[in-house]
Amino acid sequence: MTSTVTTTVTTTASSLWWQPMTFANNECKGFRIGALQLYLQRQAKQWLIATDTIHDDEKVPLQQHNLEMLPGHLQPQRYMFTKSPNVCRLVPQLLDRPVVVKTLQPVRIPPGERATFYISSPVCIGVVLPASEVLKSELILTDIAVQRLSDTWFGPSTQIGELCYADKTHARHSKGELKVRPHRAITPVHIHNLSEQMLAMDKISIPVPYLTLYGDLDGSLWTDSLTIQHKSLLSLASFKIDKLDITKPQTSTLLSPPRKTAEKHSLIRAFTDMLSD
Amino acid sequence: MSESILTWLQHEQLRNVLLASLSVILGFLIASLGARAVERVFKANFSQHHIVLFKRLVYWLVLALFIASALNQLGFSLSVILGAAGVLSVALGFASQTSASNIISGLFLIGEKPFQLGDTIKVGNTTGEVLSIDLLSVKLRTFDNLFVRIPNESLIKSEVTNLTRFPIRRFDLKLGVAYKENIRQVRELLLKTADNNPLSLDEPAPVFMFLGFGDSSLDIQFSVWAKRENFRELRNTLQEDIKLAFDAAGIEIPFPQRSVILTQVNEK
Repeated sequence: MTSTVTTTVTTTASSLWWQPMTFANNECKGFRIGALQLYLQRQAKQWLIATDTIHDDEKVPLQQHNLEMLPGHLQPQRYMFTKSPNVCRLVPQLLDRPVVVKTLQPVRIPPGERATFYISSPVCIGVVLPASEVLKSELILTDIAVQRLSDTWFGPSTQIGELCYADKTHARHSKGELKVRPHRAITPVHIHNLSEQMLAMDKISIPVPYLTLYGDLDGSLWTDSLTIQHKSLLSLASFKIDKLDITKPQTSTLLSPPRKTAEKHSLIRAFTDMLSD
Repeated sequence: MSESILTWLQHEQLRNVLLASLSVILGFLIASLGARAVERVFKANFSQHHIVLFKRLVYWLVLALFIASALNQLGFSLSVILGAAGVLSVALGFASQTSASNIISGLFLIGEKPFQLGDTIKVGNTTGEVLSIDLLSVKLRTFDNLFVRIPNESLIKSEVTNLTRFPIRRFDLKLGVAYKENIRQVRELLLKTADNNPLSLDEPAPVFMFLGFGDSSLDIQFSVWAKRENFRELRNTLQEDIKLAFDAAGIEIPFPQRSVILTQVNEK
């Protein structure tokens, strides 16, 4: 049997798309987030989740569609309940491994100079049912990567190092040039070249599992910023994560905490090779 | 009735038997508890292989002490038993040189640590996951779910390949293309195919090697790195991608051809 999909409404979703949504019985919604097409349907005793991939991911901001039913060609995951909860949230999360990004053009930082780059990385979308009368505590149904990045190895040799994801960046240095993309989180990276030589940078490792993710009012995603002080090619780059001060009033809201907490020494070891010359 | 039971219990030999039995049971209990305690203590700092070894050592040592105590309780002289065991072990040693050789090889294997429990190794034509490393032999489970026991002596003598020692592995694909093909175009196509495959590591970058001019093809080696766990999947998907890409670009993969000439024999 082939099912027909009827799109009744197509809207650009609210900028705060991570807010809870209420689903009526049998209500079905589709979300387009970057290259990911996500479908959710609530039925009396189950939640259905299906995903699909789109190739043209850059042009469209997050969209929401109301559907009559899930597309017939997809095989949904079923989550069974005695009585299905009616509230659902989409929670963006940073990836589980560091992302090594290559700059599209070679970047040079002269001795003594500072530079700030805004580097984005794709996120995962967690489908979460918040705590309610039916559920005692919050329940994460699934965690889906918006974009499948290629694997890469980051380390001094094929024996020592760690597996990361590979991506490319424009390494933009002005906030004004940044596009609002709901499927990518922006990490501000401050680099201070304290050495006496020109610092050449063609790739950089962003330790996203150690960063906190925040959502802005315009729907853009931001992480904690990184500060790297480069002293010489032979020495360790001193590195720190600048946490956002959440006690001060601001427009950002905390969306997901870091996946991993690093010990002080392990963090230094992990990012010894952060900059490549 | 009760008096007769009491008299029976007071009998010295019976009491010794009871105490010896109790000692053996207690030995089993303490040995088990000791082995578990060893596992808990060493879990954080030692490999699974060493934990299993320590556990066995503690278990059998504790049990041996209690059994010796039980034998002593039953009236056996330990010095005589140990002497007999010594003589027996020398006799057994001469009689079972292979086993002794396996035990010594096993000690070398334990010290050298070429592989650990859970690793996948290749010995000769056998490839499998290491289930246990014992004093006499190493037990493997092959990918078609067969149990293989390899004597330690054979392992020491032969070449052993540990397939899961390092986190990443390289897949070397050897292929040939027809002489008419543009080798630069082939190179770009292969690199692009690897770049599009998410299982292929970006760094270390794929390597294209032009091996030479073969009998019927331009011989190429294309080496791509993958995460250890994804190696088999990469090998399948990459070869499939390359075949599809070659078909789409009209690049020919030649194969040896044979001309068969049929002749008609005229019957007279």
